[in-house]
Parts: sequence; C-alpha cells; structure tokens
Amino acid sequence: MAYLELNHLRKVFGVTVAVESFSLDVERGEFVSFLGPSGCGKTTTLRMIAGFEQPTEGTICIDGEDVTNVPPNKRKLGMVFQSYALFPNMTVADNIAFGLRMAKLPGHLIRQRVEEMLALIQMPGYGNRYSHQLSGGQQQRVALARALAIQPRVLLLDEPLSALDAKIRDELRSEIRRIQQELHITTIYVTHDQEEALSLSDRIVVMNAGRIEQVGPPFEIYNRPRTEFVARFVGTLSTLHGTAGADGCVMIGGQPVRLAQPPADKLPGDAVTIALRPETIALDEVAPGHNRLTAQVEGVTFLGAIVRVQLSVNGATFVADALNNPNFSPPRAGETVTVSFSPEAARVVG
Amino acid sequence: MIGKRSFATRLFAWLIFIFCAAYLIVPLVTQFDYSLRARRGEIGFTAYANVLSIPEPDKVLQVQTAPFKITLNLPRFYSSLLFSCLMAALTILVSTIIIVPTAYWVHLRVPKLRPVMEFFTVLPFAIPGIVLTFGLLRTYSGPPFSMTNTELGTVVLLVGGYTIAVMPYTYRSVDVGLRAIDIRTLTEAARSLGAGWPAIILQVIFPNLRVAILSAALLTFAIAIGEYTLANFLFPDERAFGSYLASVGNNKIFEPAALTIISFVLVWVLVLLIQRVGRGTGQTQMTGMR
Repeated sequence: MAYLELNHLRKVFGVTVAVESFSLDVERGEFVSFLGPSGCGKTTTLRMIAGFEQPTEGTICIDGEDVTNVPPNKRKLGMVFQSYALFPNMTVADNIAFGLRMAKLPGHLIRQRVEEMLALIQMPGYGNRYSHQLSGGQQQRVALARALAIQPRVLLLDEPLSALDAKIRDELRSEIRRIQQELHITTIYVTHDQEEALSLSDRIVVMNAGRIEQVGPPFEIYNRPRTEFVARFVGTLSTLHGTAGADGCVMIGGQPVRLAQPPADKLPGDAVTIALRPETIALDEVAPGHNRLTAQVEGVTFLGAIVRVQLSVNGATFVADALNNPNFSPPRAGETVTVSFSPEAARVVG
Repeated sequence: MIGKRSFATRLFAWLIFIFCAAYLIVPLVTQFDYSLRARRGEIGFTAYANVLSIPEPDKVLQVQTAPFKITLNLPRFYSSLLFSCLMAALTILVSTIIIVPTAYWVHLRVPKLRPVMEFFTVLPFAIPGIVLTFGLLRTYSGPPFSMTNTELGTVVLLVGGYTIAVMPYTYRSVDVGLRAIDIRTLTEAARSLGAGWPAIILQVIFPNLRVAILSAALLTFAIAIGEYTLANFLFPDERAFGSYLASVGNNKIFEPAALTIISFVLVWVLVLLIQRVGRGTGQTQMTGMR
C-alpha cells in the first residue's frame, strides 16, 4: 500500500471537468511533481489533496487513512503557496509557531522547534522580523519553514518559485530539494516549469486537460515521452514533415532518414512527421551509422552555454543545439551544413 | 503655451483649495471667536467654563438596569458625553462583531453576493433617520417585544439603531480592508496549519484588518456621539450628548458655540489617536496586499 493514494479523482466545476480519472500512488519520502500547462488541473488536484476542494468523485488516502472528507485543518499537511501567504501581522517566529500553537504544543517546545526551523532554512536571527522586512526568497523560505514546523505527513508546494527572480529561484530550488531529502518528507510539487520538475523530482506526473499524460522519472519523461504532448511540453522538440519511403525510411526533403522504430503503419508515399530533440543533432561530426541531412542555416542564437542553430531542409525548419566551444565558430545564416543524428534520436509522432 | 496652461491650472487648483479651506475654517474661527465673547467687552473662556463646570445635580447619568449599575453625579456635559461614549463603544463592538465576519464570509465564500451586500448596506443612506427611528419604535416598543419598557431594552434598541445607521461606513471600510489583503490564501494557509474558523478570524483576519476596523470605529464614534433623532426619541430625558447639544443650543447663547468647538476638538483628538494607533504597524496591511 502506497503512502499517499489518489484513486480515480474527478473534479467538476459547473460544466467544466477540471480533473478526470486521476489515480496515483506516492511512496513515503518521494518527491513527485505535477507538471503541465495552465488549466491542466494540477493545482486543482493539489487543492483536493490539501482539502480545499472536495473531489466530485474518487478518494484520497494518506498512510492508510481515507481523508477525502476530512477538513483541511485536520489533515496534518503542510502547504506552501506561490504568494508566500505569510501572516503580515506576525513576526517570522510567530508565523513558524502558528501551526504549533494551533496544535497546543507547550511554549518551550514551540520555541525550540522555531529555532530548529530557522536553522534549517539558514535564517537564524530572523525570528523577530516581519514579512515586509524580508525579500521574496526569504519570505518563501519562512513559508517553507512554517509548513515544515508542524511535521506534516505530506508537504504540498503550489508553484512556490513562480514569483521569484531567476537567480533566487535556482537557489531556492536546490534548498527545497536539500531540505526534502534531509527530512525525507513526502512532497507534491506543482509547477508549469519543466526545468524545475526535471531537476527536483523523483517522479513527474505530466498532465494535460485534466488527465495524466505520463508518469515517470525525469529521465524517462524527457527521453521516452509516450505522447506527442509530453514530447512537446517537456523540452524543446523539432518536428520534420516528410513521406514514408521504402525499407522503413522517411524521406525529408528528398533525403532518407532511418529510424530505430520505422513507421509500421505507413505505406510508401504516406505523410510522416518525425520529432527530434535539438541536443541530439550534431553539427560538427558524423558518427558511423548516423543519419545525415544537408540543411540550410536560417539563423543562430547564442544562449551562453549553448548555441542554438535554426535549420531548414526544403522548407521544413528545425533547431539544433551545440555546446558552446570557444574554438569552434558557429555557422552563419545562409551557409549549407551537414547535420547528423542517430536513428534512435528520431521518433515518429504523426 | 504649455507653461501658461500649467500656471493657469495651478492657479485654479490653488483657488479651489483656498475656497474649500475657507469654507471649512471660517465658520470654525467665527464660532470660536463668538464663544469667547460671553462677557460683554471681554475675551475669555466663560462659555467653556459654563459648559464644563456647571453642576446640575438633578441631571445625572442614571443607568441602573442590568448589566449597567452606574450612578454618577456629574455636570450634564460629562454625563451625556459619557453616556454617548458608552453607546458609541457598544455600537463599535456590535457592528465589528457583525460586519467583519459577514464581510469576510462574503469575500471568501460567496463573492457573487457582494453587490447585494453593498445594496443592503447603503439602505441607511436612503432611509431618513426619522423613518428608521419610527420604524424601530413602532416595531419594538409594543408587544411582543416591548423593548422600550426597560432601560436595557432601550439601550439595546439604541445600539441596534446606531449599528444600522453606521453600517454603510463600517461595511465599506471593512470591505476595502479585505480587498487589500489576499484573504483566501491567508485563510487557506491558516487552515493548512490546523487553525479552525474562530482562530482564523481572531488571529489572522482581525489583526490584518486593524486599520480598516479603526477607521470604521472612528466614523461610528463620530456619528453615534452626535446622533440626535434616535437618542432623543428613545431617551427623552436628554441623556445623550446629541440631545444635550440640542438643548443647550435652544436655551443658551454663547455655550452652543463653545460646545461646537469642544466637540470638534474631541473628534480631532480621536482622529489623531486612531491615526497614531493605525500607523503603529501600518505595514501589516501593506505586506498582505495582493
């Protein structure tokens, strides 16, 4: 039996189905991210776990206890919000102590726990400050400490880094993962940022239109997407339109491309769409057994560590990413280059 | 061209400002000047002394019905002021207890009802005070309520009437305060930390609405302290400050002017006091903003 069980959850708002047939088992200490675009139902699912939304159908069990009809203040879950939601009338220490006071813990235990939490978030000495005296990142750390202080059964984070700038976001992301692993706390993390989900999670639940598209570890989600939606949503994906050729090849702009998994249901001449990740395309070398395509350079974008090259083959455009190499000059727009990729890198998506 | 227009605009703004300031200040200055001329040919505070120190032992504040067991022998200025302050304080308490949780609930659970609430809360503006007074008297002075038969019942009726009369100000003030903070998320944060509704309202909502509640309290106080119609009909013995002001206005010459100035100063002291208290942790509301 899993620690957190979500069984056939369904949520309907009026005539809109927000979540449909959502089933998931989460093990104790696991970090699971719900990833998807706005309106895909990820936050609604999180709010159902928290108890702020009542499922239209389905059940939620935590550690064997059915909490579907338990009010949020009795579920013993910690929640961190995008907008921090610190109580402005209270100091940092009072905010962290709030849940402990609600649990009627003795004063000395509360003080001790507050100090522990401040140390955990690396903010000792900030106890007497008010939220308006803290930066956004500090406020979110306090919100995290406040949620953790009550030793929740499950930690729920609803896009906690969305309101922060990029540098703070990176720092706090590492901090969240460190604390989660240190406390070994079961965590559900909602985000629309694939990078966050990929870097933090033990498993990712990719959602679309209220349904689960795919559940799996980040490596699997990224490298072996089961649906076109997952492939497109997680990472950058280029699609190339061609036709099925003889011997399982796909003809792109008159050039043959071999695939590890040829399009079995296509007859020669049928339209075929293949998908490629930009980082699987090599610009400067052709390994034995790899596909070769002669392409026109449409443009080059320097992204620091990566150089992104926009290419086209007879009007079909795609991108290739190369690691920045100071000794290698990127191609210029208008040049003709030969790119290569392995048969395993290309997947038929249509 | 632009410079000329700018100068003309500024001149016009200054003229408006001076006119408005004069409209407010000139009557006060003339009242104050008049209040100092109680003795022919002298400038002094005789009228103020008359108001503040004339002992009238027959006019005492006597509220002897439970829960009040107060019998004071004070000059009428003080006794009426004390009585009205007490009524104002009770009104503030009652309206805060009723309005804050109601407005909070409407914001949180039934935001669609906000226009309906706004309509109901402005009704006291549309209904004349005398109509409200007679309505209350007609309904509650006879069976089955007969509230005016007892001192306590009359006090309850007065406070109830005041609570209705100040509702447009109280509700609006609290409504603005609630709009300024993200009450939904704060409520959910508190709920997730194990707080029940009473704890949320008392420890999260009330403290974060402190400035709004203080503003509402000030308006309530200013209205209740000078209210005449309801107080005069419910307490014809001129026990309330408003009735006392009217009585002095009818029977004295210089004292009404002195009373006007005293009332004005009292209200301003209160305004400053509330602003000072509000500014103490004024930041609390700022940081809770959406």
